[in-house]
Amino acid sequence: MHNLLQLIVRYSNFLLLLGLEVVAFVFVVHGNKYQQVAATGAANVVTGSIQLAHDNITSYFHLRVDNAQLLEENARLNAEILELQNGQTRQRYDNDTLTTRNREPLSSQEAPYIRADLDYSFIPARVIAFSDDRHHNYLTLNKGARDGVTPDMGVIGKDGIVGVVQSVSTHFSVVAPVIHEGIFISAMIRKNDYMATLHWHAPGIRHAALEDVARHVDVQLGDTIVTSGMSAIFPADVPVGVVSAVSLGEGDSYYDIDVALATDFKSLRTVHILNYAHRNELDSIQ
Amino acid sequence: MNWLRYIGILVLLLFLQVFLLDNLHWLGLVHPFVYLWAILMLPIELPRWLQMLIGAAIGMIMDLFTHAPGIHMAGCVMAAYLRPLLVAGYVQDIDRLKGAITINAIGMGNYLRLLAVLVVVHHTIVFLLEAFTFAHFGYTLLQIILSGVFSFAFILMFEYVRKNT
Repeated sequence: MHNLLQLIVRYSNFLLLLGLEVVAFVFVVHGNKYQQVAATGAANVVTGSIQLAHDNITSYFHLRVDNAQLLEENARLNAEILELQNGQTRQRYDNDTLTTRNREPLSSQEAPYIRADLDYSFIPARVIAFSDDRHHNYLTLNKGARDGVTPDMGVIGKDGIVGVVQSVSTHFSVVAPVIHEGIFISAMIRKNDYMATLHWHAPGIRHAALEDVARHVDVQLGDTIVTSGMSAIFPADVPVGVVSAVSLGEGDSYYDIDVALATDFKSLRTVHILNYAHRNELDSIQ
Repeated sequence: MNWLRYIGILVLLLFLQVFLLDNLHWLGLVHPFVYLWAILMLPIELPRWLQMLIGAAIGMIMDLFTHAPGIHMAGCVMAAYLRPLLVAGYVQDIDRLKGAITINAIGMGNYLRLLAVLVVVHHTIVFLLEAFTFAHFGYTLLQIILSGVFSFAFILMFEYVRKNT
């Protein structure tokens, strides 16, 4: 017993090292689980407030880019109004001539990619912190539970898909973006509705891989990839990206497909959080 | 060792780290961690368990800001554990050594060696834990080397500024 005590005293520093490293390792493993990304730190009100103050200062430096993006969005919305007005005119015309043709809901490639009849509402938010140089990147948004944000809501930007809300505090929320190695997006090739999985690997935040596309499928450079709509997180047809490289080995059964992502995370400042009206109902029967 | 001054330096370092260096993303590869300087300069006569706990605390503050629990804590604790061993290995009359570890206290050559080893150990742990895989080891290795070179240079620069003020 005496010897044991001596041993412990003699190696106390090393034992403390082991103890602290084990604690740190538990933190790492716990904190990196897919559903728990940043749950301990990022949605924390203290660091969130500091990040907000930081963002209040640095946002001045982004005003030029923000302006350009707002102008672009403005133009898109104007186009949408025009199209809706045209549609109403056409509708009246159709009624007048007593046609029974069942018209498709308004949507063209120029029009916004979320249609009004899909029961999604938006919560606009600003990106107040982000990372793009890790394997598990994140975005912090300035909207939280108070604004109706809950985990597992989808997030889109003006160019397309952004990510999925991971954790929420009163005023802030943390998003795991597409460029997070734990995120798998159910996507499809728009021209033939073939379903596949989009998955990102570090490094290179402009590209991700499209997995599970079998060799019989017709896929070409420049094909547009959109969300499949096979979940309540994203509706169908949200832009994901464009096929930028395709290769198929002699004996492979699946393609290696590289997708240029629609969203540029480096210039992303404003996003919309998607709130699906019937999510609880959908969850309860699935 | 003036603890008030030490805390001032620590806060400045963390500010610099969190608000400037963590946002640079040079090439997605270079991510220097200059806050390591705060562990490097701790007084050598402190009990070793206290040095490790201070290291753990500094690491946890960093973790809080980088949303990755445990990663910096692991690197800092290891650096704080190894530092007294390394100093004892480099410096002849360790018993007469007192106060903060600086260039003046242990000499230029020893300081450079100590700094290099601690930066390599700390960065290796941090970047490997961050990747949490050996799958992209080439990329992680490049991150460690490039970031380490910048951390080394920055900390040496700070040490010079501190020495001359």
